Order: sequence, then structure tokens, then C-alpha cells
Amino acid sequence: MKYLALIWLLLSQAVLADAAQNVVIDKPFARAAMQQQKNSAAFMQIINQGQPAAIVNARSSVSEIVELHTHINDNGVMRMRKIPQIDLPHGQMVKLKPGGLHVMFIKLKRDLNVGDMIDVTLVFDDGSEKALELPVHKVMMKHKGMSGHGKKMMHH
Amino acid sequence: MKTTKALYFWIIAVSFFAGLVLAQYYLKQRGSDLIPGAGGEFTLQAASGPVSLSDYRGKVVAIYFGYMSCPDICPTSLWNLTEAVKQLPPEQARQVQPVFISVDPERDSPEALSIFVKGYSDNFVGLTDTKPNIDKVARQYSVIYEKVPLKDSAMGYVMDHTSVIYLVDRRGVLQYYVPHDTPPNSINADLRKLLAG
Ligand SMILES: [Cu+2]
Repeated sequence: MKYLALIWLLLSQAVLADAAQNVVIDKPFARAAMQQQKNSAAFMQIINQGQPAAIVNARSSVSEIVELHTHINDNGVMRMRKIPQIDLPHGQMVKLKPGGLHVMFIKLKRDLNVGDMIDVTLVFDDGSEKALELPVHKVMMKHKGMSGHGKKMMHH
Repeated sequence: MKTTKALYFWIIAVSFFAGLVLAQYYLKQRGSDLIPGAGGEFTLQAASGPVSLSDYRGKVVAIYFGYMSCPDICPTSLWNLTEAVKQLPPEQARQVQPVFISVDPERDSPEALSIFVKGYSDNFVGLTDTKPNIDKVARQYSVIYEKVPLKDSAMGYVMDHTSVIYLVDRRGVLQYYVPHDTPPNSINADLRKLLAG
């Protein structure tokens, strides 16, 4: 009987866990912004171990407004767009990364200097929230041996 | 007679498919290829006054078109370029002139730009101008950009734009077209080629 109660307790925990508890955030960081830069972005890798969920909002003390955005690369034309939510399917890794999905800081209240730690709170579709502390990085492309060089112009 | 007809059929069929393939190729290249003779002289406004490409004759010039409100695409490109220059020996790095051209003159004043670019390197130059003048330079360099209102976003509007670093040789001739996401070491290799030339 004791064991039954224990099993019930464990099961109910798993079922009742909200999105914030089921979601594991890896390698979060924000992009450095200073010298008149009014906007910046945060990136991270997210794995949802529970029921399908979604990020529907985000907050931070560093900017007046925080939005969820993505980038569309339309034949080389970069189109940044606001999106209503970031879907988190069960068991899949969702990557917020430069050139793609991001948490967008609009109208920064302060500079984001390399080495700073800043706060971001993610709000999920079930109303649960997850508070994060993220480091500020200077973001550039990593060395990729295979990646292409500039295209040489053809001159006549 | 029958063989002639078959021959015609095959000629038409083959040309049709060749046309399809070419069209596909052409469409894919839109916004990612340069017309021969692209680039050339321009004059735009810096905080210190007008700046022309020819002011930098004798230097290798790296040009990027973007806007200051861009949170991600532009900073990545500008850091990649800055890092590529930093990887050069100091006396060579001094012979590279990085230029940022804002396609968002409504929000980016030459004064704000001059501060913004200094966040990357001391000799970075920030330029902008009236829309007609920017349009002219954008056409020359086959830059595509577009002001797009964003409903429900505090951004108000964004500037969709191609993300390319243009490398101009010491004589003012556009030589390299560096696509988005090219890492610093690759840009560095192209800069070295132009500095040696
Ligand atoms: Cu954004």
C-alpha cells in the first residue's frame, strides 16, 4: 500500500509537471550590444521532455520590449519577422540561433557588454514560466574548414 | 520522314528542359550574384561630411549594407569582418578600410552611425544618405533592400536586406562578394589576396 502511494505520487508528479519544468535549456546567451545599438537578441537550445508546449512570450529587465522573432533567408534577402510562438514538440531540440529563431530585445535600457549576465523569463502556453540567467557574448561565425570563400568577380 | 519528326521532337524536348534548368539556376542566383561591372564609385554622408569610395584609393575597402536596429544578421557580419581584419598583421590591417552603409536613414543618422561602427573597430566608417542616393549605390552593388512595416511589433518596421560583404581592391574595383555567414578566416584569406595584389 505504501508503494502504491509512492508510485501514484511519482506518476502524478510527471503528469502534473508544467512546461517550465519539462523544458531543459542549454547554452543560452545574449548578443553583445553597445554604442547606440538599441536592439539585441538571445539564443539557446531547448529540449521539451514533456507534452508538446510552446513559448508564447518572454520578458527581460534589459529592454523595454521583448518579442519572439525568426529570420527567413529568402534567396539571400534576410527577412526578420515577429512570430506569435515558438513550438516545442516533445523530445525534439529546438534551436534559437543567429540567423534564425531568437528572443528579440527591443529598445535596450542598457548596454549588453561581453561578460555581463542578464535575465530572461520565458512564458509557456500553459502559463508556467522559466527564469534564466544568460551570459553576453560577442557572436561571430566559427571557423569552418569546408565553408566557402568570397566569390570572385568576373571582369571583362 | 519519321526520323526527322523524332529529331524535332527531341530538339524541342531537350531545349525545353534546358530552359527550365537555366531558369531555375537564374532564379536561385537572384540576390546572390553580381552582374559583371557591379560596384564602382559612390559618395555618401558620414558624420564628418561626404565620403567617396575614391577617398580610399590605395586601400582595400570592405563594404557592408545593413541597419543599426538589426539585432543579429548585421552584427554577426560586422564581427566576422572585424575579426578577419584583426587576424592580419597590424601594418596590413591598417590598409583595410571597413565601411558600413545604413539603408535605414530614417532611424540611423550619420552621427549615431559614427558611434555605432566604433563598437567594432576604431577605423570603421559609417555612411548613409537620402533614400534616392542609397538606392543608387544599392543598385550599383546589386544590394536588395526593402522597408517592411511589421504590424504588432515594437520594431515598427524592419529593413529586409541582402547580407553580403563586398571587397574592393586598392584601385577601387569590386573583386569579392562574400556571402552571409562566411567565417572570419575565409574573409581573411580573401583580404590577403587583395592586399597582395
Ligand atoms: Cu528580431
